[in-house]
Amino acid sequence: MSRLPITPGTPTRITRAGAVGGGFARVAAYTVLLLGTVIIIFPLLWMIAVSLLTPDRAQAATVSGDLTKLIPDDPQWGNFAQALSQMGSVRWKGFFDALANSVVVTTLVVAFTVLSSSLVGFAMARIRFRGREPLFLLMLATMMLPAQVTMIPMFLLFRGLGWVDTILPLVVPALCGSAFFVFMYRQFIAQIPEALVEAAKVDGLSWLAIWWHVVLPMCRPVTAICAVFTFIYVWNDFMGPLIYLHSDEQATLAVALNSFRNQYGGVNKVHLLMAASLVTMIPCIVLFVAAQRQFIEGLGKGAVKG
Amino acid sequence: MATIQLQGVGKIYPGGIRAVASIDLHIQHGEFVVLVGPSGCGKSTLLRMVAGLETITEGSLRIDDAMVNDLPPQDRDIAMVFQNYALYPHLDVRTNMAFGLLRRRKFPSRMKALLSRAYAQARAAEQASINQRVLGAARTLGIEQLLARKPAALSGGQRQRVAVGRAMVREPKVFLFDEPLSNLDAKLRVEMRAELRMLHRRLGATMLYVTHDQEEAMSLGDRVVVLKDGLAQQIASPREVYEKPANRFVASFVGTPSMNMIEGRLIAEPGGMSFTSGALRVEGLVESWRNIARDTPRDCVLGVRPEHLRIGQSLGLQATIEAIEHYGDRMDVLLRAGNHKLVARTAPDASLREGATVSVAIDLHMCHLFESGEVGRRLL
Repeated sequence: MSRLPITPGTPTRITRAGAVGGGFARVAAYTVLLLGTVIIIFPLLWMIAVSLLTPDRAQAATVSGDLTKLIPDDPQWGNFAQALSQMGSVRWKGFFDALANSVVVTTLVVAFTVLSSSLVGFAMARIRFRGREPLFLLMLATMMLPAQVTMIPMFLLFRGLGWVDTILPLVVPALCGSAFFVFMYRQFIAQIPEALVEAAKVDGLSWLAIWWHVVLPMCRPVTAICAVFTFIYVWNDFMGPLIYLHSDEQATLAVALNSFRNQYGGVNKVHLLMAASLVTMIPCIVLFVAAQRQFIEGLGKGAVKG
Repeated sequence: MATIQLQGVGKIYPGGIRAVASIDLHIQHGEFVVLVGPSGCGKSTLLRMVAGLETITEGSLRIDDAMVNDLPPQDRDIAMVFQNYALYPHLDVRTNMAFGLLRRRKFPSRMKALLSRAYAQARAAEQASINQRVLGAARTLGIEQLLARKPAALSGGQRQRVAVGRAMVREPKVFLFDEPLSNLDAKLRVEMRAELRMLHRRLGATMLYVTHDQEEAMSLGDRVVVLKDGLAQQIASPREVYEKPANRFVASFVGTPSMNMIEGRLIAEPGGMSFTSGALRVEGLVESWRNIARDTPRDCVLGVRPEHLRIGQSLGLQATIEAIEHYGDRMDVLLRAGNHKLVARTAPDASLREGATVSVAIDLHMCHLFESGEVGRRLL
């Protein structure tokens, strides 16, 4: 083991020899990680590559499986504009309608999910009321139900309400929170010192004000997770919009991408589909990178002696 | 400033556990009262009942003659300083201190301020007065330079000052403190103690303070309430609590090192009063004690504070020095006399050696006599 030069004022770290990194173990670990990364990133790279190919080359690379054709010798940047303009039946309109619909639906669902889940989580964690535990268990039990089981009853319900072909069936359920995120908020809020809530009570805050002014700002790590996951789920959701939104004007991006498929389910212009899909993915990637720090950082520190 | 009146205040938790039993206490305007006792004695519960954070299950609580039993905390006009400070971690010090006031603003709406000029002016004036109050409190506590920081960037002592400041800006009728110094190191604790005392003098506010540290209680309180098992054992000035403890528990709880307790019998003899405990015999007790054991000897406990044991007197008990603790200005000498372990506090004396046998005398005029039992009543 090589020795670290020790100078005054230099913090030195003492590690047990071979604890993390004997040479072989380290190489093995990095190889496994690298392999995993390649496997995970390959579809994305494939998508990027195909989106830049000419129609013939794309056909050859995807249908006939000629991987050598995957490397674009002449990147077709124009594919992106072409793809977006061809979404839906009217040139460009299809894309902008779908984008607007996706933004509206996703924003509302994210906001509603964060607000309702944190509010319920707060009540479950901090307010003592009769039947709290059974209610909580009942709520958790709903997580065990597969979505497919409730799909048809939900559709009948919303059809009865006359909400089909509006965004309401996608947005309104978010007002009732999500069992999983309620659970996450509850666990997080339960760790916030009771004294903070009591201090807020003495400061004259109602339960609702305590939630809004004290608890919610402290829940930023959970809120980040809840918001990002919900965003990605709703942004990419295909089934929900497909069931409830029938007209072209109401379609979200995930549904609009479907216009690249022909009536028999095949794909004629795979390079355009990949280009459009790639553009659709951008917000998710940006959001994930932006919120990464929040995932890691806890905000609770400094609240009490620590 | 306000008075606080507790009449028969008690707390029984669901399941029948009694945390506080029927406390009667009348706190005057501007008085500093300290609730002290070992952990689990109900002192924090009592404070939290005054704060409105616990329901009162029996008795009545009045602040300034108004019954407040069922009022929520925000309507009692109190401010509380918590043991772990309870500063809002996402807000800077200024907002932390102003928080209570910001929530009680008469003109809170930014929207209305945009629409109405009169409203905007009133709002600005209100904001300015809040800022003024925060700044004033910060100056008093010497934390002006910290106003823009977040709690995470403060030391324990600074956080404590901010917590006190947050209570001060509210200018409440009553200040409540729940062991505010127990998270600080010893030196800082003594400093903050003096500061709190000065703050109390300056504000002249009614304060109710909870601690398990009897030294803190003695040094801060105008009056001290010693609690045990939810019962008030004694309510008196620190001096009285120390000099005339109401019972054996108070006597041994207050004072460091604890009072020496010797269980034995008081015997009245024609020649004088004497106290025996095994081989230990104390003679020449004060004659006025004769009332306690007129005809028959009486089992009781003799209490002697360590500073009232004198080492090296010619007449006295023979005791062996087991250990000596030096404090520089004084020393505590741990003695063994027969089966009894005693502690004596003396001035530094280089001649005393561990293992040596010395003669120990009791200052008979400063002795206390208690009934036997853990909370035996004071007899004299």
